[in-house]
Amino acid sequence: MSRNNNNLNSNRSALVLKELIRHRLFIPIAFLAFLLLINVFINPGFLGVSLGRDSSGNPVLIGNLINILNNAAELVILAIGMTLVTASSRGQDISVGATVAIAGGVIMRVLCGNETQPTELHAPIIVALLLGCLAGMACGAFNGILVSKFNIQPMVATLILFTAGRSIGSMAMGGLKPKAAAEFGYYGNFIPGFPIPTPILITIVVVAVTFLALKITNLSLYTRAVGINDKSSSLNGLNPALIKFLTFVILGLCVGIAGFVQASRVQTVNPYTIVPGIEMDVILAVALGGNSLSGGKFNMTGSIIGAYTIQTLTSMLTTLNVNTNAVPVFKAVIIIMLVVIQSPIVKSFLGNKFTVLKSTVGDGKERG
Amino acid sequence: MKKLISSVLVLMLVLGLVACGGNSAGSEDSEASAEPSAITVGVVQTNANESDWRTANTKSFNEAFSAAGYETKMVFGEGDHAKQISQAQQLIQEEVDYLVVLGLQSAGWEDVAKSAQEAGIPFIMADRKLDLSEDLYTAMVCSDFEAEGKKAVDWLKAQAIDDCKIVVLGGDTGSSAQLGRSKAIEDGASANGWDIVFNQNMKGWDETLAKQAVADLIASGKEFNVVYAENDNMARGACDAMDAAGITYGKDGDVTVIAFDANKWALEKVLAGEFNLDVECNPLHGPRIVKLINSLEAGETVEKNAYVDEEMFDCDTITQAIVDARTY
Repeated sequence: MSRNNNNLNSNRSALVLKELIRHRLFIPIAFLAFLLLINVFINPGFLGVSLGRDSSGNPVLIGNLINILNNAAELVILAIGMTLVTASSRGQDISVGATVAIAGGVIMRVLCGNETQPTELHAPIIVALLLGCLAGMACGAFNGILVSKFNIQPMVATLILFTAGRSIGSMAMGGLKPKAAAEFGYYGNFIPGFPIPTPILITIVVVAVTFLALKITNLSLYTRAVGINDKSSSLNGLNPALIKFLTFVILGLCVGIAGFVQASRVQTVNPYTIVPGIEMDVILAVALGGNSLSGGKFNMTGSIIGAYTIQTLTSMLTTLNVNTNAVPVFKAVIIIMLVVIQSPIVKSFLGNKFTVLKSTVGDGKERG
Repeated sequence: MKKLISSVLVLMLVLGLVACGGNSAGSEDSEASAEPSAITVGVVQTNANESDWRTANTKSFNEAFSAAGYETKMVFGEGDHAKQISQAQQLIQEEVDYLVVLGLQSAGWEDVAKSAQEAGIPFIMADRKLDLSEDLYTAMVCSDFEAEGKKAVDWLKAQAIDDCKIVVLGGDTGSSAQLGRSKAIEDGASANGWDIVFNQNMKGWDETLAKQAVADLIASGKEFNVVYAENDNMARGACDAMDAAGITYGKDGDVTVIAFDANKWALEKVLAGEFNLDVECNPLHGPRIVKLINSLEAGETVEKNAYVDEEMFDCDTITQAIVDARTY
């Protein structure tokens, strides 16, 4: 379609097109739309949402789209924190899966005590949420100190909790595998009588708070400044160590919330298998969002779209009943396509193709 | 500064080791005080508390071995196949008298078995059968996962459900439990003309992924009337998803639920009519291995391929007494 337009018309439409293609969100959104289109092509009812009733007669929304929005909650929340960490520290936190296990473990212990099948909650849910977030933030602070004070590479620093986190989560639960009372399940499923899954609402709140915080505080500016150049930002009166530390703590908070949602989904936590391999999905979401993994500029909206893209892909592989041995290959092939198309070389090639005006700039790579 | 960093790193390494080995530390410490004649049994366990089943399994080893007066050195792979192999090699180096292996994956154990053989340490497989030729291991005390699956298949056949549309929720890809149970239902489906509408493995045998998968299937309008979940937890996850969509299941419902392992809480669900069938996977291997080691010590020949006896529990015949008798 683009070629047609180009031939047909003046510079003007070419310019508009070029602007569109060069827009930072063009590729992430195009991917998501592309995946959804494939799904609709295979199963025309894919985007349909219907109002059903659950087994206790409460109204619930049922549909693939709802499932994707629902199941992507943890991924989106973690991607928000990971984007900030990536931007400020020029590295990634690979311990998020393990720290979700810690936060989840703490939450379960607070709610269930030492019982395996408690009929009632041992503490108010808000207390569990707060302690879970605290546990997540403590893990984030631990990683943050290693990275900001000791200048250890983020991937190496977070390797410690990546290795030990799930065992710590298991110890936090006292070696038990309890299942909490049903009312804890409202936060990972439905609030009775309200048809939209609660994780979607929680995601909306977290995203809204994030954008508000980025808008009204200097966090966004400072994070970018530190990520682009430590030294010059410190010459300009910023404290790079503090900013980095802060982003890790924010990621820790995201971990706590994600752990809470995840634990609530089935009202139990298995520290060894909770959110398997989510670290890589989260980092991928950040990358798919058009962010440079070497820090500096970041694009929060892109990361969030990236997270939904990954969940769409996961959901698609389920509904297509892809052979279980082929699932990782399938996923890898699609992801490699997405990443290659986003690479600067392909981007500039496309850019040149559509226009003869100035060469591409502004892909977040200014930092040397 | 550098010194500080390195000392902190060392500290953290130590902490990490303590964290990882927390469960085995106790048994290793007590080793020093043991009388020299005691038999030392090295156990390579999968995960410390992956499930209630595994907890009962670990407990069974510890209780039976200490009752028999053995020294136990138990190590946990924590989901890492490669780690298990190096742990097993380590135990061989420590010259344990018997090596009991519960493999996370069934492949890749040849080298361990060979070095055990060279060191003269009997190699016993427990729980999950490994891919080893008969001359490489001494004995096995395993669950016959394919036979478990076949029990479920035969039961399903007897139910005479019209037009079976089966959702298969597999366990960790490549574990012998997954391979055996999946093979049984796949063979059963092709023999009986059943339709498998979904067949994927859920990483980690977990509720959450099973729940997501079933919710996705429901949302995309895929019809099914049988859920074949390869453990209790995934069956519970599938039931959660069906609950949320208002689909009835169990004894009086539209969807027949088949689970494996038969934990106590799962048997309660069978009794309540939420699961239709639960096939037992017996975790109490400890006493069997004690018996095996005693016969080996006495120089008797042992049965090489011993399978554990296992039952199944169906919602029409289960009684409160069966549930109460279950300890795990």
